[in-house]
Amino acid sequence: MLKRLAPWVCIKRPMILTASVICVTASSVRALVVTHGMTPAVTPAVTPAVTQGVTQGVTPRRGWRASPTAAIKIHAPSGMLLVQGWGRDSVSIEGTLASGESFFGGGTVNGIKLGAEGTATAGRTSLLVRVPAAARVVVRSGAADVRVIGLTSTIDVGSAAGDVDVSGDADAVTAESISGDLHIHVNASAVRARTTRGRLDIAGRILEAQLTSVSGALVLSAQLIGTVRVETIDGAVEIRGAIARTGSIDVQTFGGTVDLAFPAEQGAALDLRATDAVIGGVLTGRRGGRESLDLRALAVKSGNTTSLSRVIGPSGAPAPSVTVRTMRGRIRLRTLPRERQPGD
Amino acid sequence: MSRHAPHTPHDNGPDPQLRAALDALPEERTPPADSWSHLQRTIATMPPAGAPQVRTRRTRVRWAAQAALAASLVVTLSVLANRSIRQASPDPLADLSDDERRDPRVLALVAQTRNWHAAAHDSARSARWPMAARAAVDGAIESTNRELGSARAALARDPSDVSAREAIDTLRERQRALLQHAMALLDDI
Repeated sequence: MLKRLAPWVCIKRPMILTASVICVTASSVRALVVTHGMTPAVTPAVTPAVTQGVTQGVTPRRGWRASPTAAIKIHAPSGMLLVQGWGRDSVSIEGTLASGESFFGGGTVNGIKLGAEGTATAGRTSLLVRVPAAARVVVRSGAADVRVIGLTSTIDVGSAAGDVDVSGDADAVTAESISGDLHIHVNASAVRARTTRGRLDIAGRILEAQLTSVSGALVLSAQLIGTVRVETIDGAVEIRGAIARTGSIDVQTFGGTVDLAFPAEQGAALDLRATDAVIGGVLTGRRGGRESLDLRALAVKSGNTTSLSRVIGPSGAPAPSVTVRTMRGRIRLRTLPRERQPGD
Repeated sequence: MSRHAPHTPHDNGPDPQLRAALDALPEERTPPADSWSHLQRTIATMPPAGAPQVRTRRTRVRWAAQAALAASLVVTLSVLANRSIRQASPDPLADLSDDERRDPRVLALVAQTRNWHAAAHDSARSARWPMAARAAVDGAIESTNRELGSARAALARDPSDVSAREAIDTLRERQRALLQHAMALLDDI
């Protein structure tokens, strides 16, 4: 019976519906609202799709009770998924489903699993999932673009081919996409991000970060950089910002270039080494009478390896370590222009 | 039940006039008893004029045969394609030295690479894997192999090049981790 109804959306026992099983299409929503006595709370979620003439299936709003720190796992095969933290002890989902995909969900107050499943044949899935702000959320996406906002606890987003965008004040963020881009703009104690081909764009105040890429470019532009470890194969690396006095930067790449930019007052213990590549750049001092440093002139060449070890910054200032290792990728340092320093 | 609804009331036999005429015939020309009912049942079970049902049945049989032939052709082609792809996949052990072939880290990478190719060609397992993600992983393998080749060339030029030796170990470990992560994520979606 259910197969014959495809691509209809079938929802079994929705909590806020009066019918025990409701199967709807966009064209039949109005009739269902009239003839099956759906509660008014359902209609706002489905009405926009109807009024816009969307032909794919429609899922009405659905909700569950959830503890503030519940573990929630969300699946999204395609389309777009927005996960938003809110101040209620409940989880809700609403949006539209592509033809061929169906909605599922269930669990307890401490653990809920929900989302879409199936293979989209027409239309585009667009889901909004609201969860308690302190919930621990895991998202798995096939090709769906995922955006997460307003969560304060742990966030784990994995997407095969979609872009991932995480923002807010979170405890820890783990994000991975094989071919999609990652945009992580957070204030967080820990960030783990990994891409294969996609671009990695990290910003905010991050105490500890481990960033990995194969070919994707990686840009870290942080107001305050804690302990950062970066690994790429041939992806370019760009790091801009102030390093915390207890922080450190460790970059290891093979074919990728490395660009580092620090504020003029930044102190650091540089340990740079490039094989079959050059080290260059100029650090300019504006306060404390520091002279400009031409790093290319200071680098030491031995065989096919160029290296530079030097402490920079005002005397007596903390000097967090900056270690860079490349093969074939050049290294360049510069001073951040005052107007472009993060946090300004 | 007949395929056609009766257009006239059920006929139990000839009307009185015809019955009288029949009775007037010689005894040997009288139809046998119940012949009208038998004739009606026979007519009712006959296909309509032109026998479209027979033609439809023949057409269906022909379509079914063609579909079966096409399906078997698709299966055969896919099996052949998979075989050719597997044969075209480079042997990860081909360029390795004897020492490398005994290195457990190298063997772990070889096993992981074979797992990746087997999973990617397993239609049941990889049916939902996005093509962009597969292409990205294959591209990553190529990128890593390119850097591996560069490091191996550097080591061949100077066998005492410690950094090249470390680079090879690091690249192999990253490639293994990449494949492991990618397969875990793709299996979880």
